[in-house]
Amino acid sequence: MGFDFEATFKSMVSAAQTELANDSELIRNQMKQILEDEKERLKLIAAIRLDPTATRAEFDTALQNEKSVLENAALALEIQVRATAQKAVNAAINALNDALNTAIRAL
Amino acid sequence: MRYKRTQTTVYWALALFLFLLFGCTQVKLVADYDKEVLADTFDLARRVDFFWANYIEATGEQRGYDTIKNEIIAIEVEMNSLLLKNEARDQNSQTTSQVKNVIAIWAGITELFRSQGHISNTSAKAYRRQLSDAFKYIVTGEKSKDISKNNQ
Repeated sequence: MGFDFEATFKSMVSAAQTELANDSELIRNQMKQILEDEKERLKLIAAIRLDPTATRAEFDTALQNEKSVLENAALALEIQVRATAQKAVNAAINALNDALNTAIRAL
Repeated sequence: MRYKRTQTTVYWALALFLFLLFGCTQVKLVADYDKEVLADTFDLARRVDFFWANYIEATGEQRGYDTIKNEIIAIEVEMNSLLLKNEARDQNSQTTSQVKNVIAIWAGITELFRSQGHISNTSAKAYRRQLSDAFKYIVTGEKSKDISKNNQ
């Protein structure tokens, strides 16, 4: 009984690529949304600076907050990338398992 | 002929090795999706947003720290509870950090209320949006973990 490693490897790569292709658009859209959100928040922070009723401490707090918000955005992207990698690797492993199960059953 | 047989043996050995290595397990890089924690996050985000909506509409003494102190503390407790729930989950360091960031934002604003007594509406609107987006990114991250429809 022969085991076609080349064909199995190709199906592993193909399974992983399908997952990566499905999620790459999602990641792009997420990044675009993050930048649009940032633009809106910066307008609100600038308004604090221009408002005579707002204190310097309020402006400084807004700037400090912004760092945390941006970190949350980056972390959300990181989770998406890790989830995509997990799906891709597991799709490849499943393809290998399927090929091996088929080969073992034929023994 | 002999070379071909050796090559087949090597492929089988390699395949069996990979099977033993990965066959019984799956790679896990993110925490399992938890819809209860997601619901808690939505509830807390709504409560924080409700706080700001009320504050922006409030006038006079209603805007003072003494009046809003209880709600600020209640929200802080809810945030700490959400942090605990996230810390208890395996492979969840990113979401845990996100909740810590929300707590840091809230702590900074609380300190402002304590020191100034009240804040301007311009700042309230900016902080409202910042917290809303900070929660949105927690939700986005949690939803990314929902990979049950795929192979996990």
